[in-house]
Amino acid sequence: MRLELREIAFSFGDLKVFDHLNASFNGGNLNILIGPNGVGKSTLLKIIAGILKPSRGEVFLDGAPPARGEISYLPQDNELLPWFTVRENVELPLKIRGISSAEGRKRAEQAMELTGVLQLADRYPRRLSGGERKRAAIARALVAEAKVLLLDEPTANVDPAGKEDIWRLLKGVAKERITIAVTHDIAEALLVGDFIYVLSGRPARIAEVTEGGERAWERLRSIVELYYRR
Amino acid sequence: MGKAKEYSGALLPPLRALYFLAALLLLVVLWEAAASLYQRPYLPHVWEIGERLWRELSAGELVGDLQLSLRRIALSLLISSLTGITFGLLAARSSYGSRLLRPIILATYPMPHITLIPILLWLLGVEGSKIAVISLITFYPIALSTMEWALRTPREYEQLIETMGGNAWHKTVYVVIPSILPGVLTGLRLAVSTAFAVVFVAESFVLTGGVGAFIEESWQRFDYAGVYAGMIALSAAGMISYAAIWLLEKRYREKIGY
Repeated sequence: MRLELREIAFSFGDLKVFDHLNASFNGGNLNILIGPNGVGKSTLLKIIAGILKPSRGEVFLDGAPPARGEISYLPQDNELLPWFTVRENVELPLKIRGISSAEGRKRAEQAMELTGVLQLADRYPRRLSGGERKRAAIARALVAEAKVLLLDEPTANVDPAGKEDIWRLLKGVAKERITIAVTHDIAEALLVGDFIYVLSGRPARIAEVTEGGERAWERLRSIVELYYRR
Repeated sequence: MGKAKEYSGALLPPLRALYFLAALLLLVVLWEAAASLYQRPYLPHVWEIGERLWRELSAGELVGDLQLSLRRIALSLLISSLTGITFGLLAARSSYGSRLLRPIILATYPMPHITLIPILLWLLGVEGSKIAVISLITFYPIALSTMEWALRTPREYEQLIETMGGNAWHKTVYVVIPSILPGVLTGLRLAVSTAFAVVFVAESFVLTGGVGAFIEESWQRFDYAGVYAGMIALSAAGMISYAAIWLLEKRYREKIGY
């Protein structure tokens, strides 16, 4: 599994966010995308998800443009529809695909069990903590059997214990798909990421890709420098 | 959704029911004080109105009229809800709709629609004109509220459906309709109060039954206790309908925190 971004260009009005951006992400790893505020991390996720259209360049999933439903995207907020319970949210991708309710229910329960939200199945999102909402949204992505999982700040507004739960869950989930999570927290990225992608500059480009673990910490200074380079 | 805002309703929370009863009692006391002080035929005593209301309700005449008025209001609200939601959605979500419908709705909203009764009478007949004028007036709060809420539907929710492979139909069913429901209920709540006020005018124009006709006939006979009995019956029914919709709206908004 491989996700490739080729020659991506994107602007907000006169502001060139990306120009000739190239990157590739492999499946089986937890890829973390970091970069200073406003560099375009969320924009890049939205381009990959197909929500924003680049003015030039293309996204390829295993050599072909991704089909609808192959990419699951979790925004920072509003990741669950507030008028549906956790169960209804998790079953939604299957309903959209027209999969029977009995089959959908079974698959949703498996996914909720895996992400630890089965006991919250009948709650509405407003009754969940930040971490519980994220785990429910991850369950929905698993049900969708998306090949690519994109997460924008998955641990924002989550308490420390909840953060650990989410990263542990994502480590497991990432083994079977291409996972890209955005965070602005360098330390968190170095701690959990298998690969750390640093987005920097204007127009932004992938300035560095570092393998996680001990070696990543040696690169900390240069990563911090990249944060402030314009 | 991030931290949900608590929705605090403006009227009738259960704990305030006592205050509500106290306010009603105060109104009764003030009325009786005025009636005792001025001794005018158009200000009957509270017990006269009460006795008359009781007699009318048990004899059945007012009950029949009330049922007829409620049927007219229900039918009118059904028509105004269907058209109001449709037009409100089109005005907010379709590009032609927003260019054409929005100015039309906004420009015709402040018009005194009640003055159209003679034309409606000529066009639609007696019964049709009553339904039409109530529907027309109650259309606006529903259409405007639907439009406002449809414009506020967070784009991110629709993007979620898109990333799941959903089409326009899925977005309408899973995002747009649930997201505008609180607005539709607010519009309906305002429309209900308006409908109860307008039904009097509609029914007193050509007298073919209903509480409006009952009140008008009482006026013509200088039967003031009858006038007030009819008014109380109508406003009580209006208040109950308003409270029922308010409760529904409150429950939904508390559930979803939206």
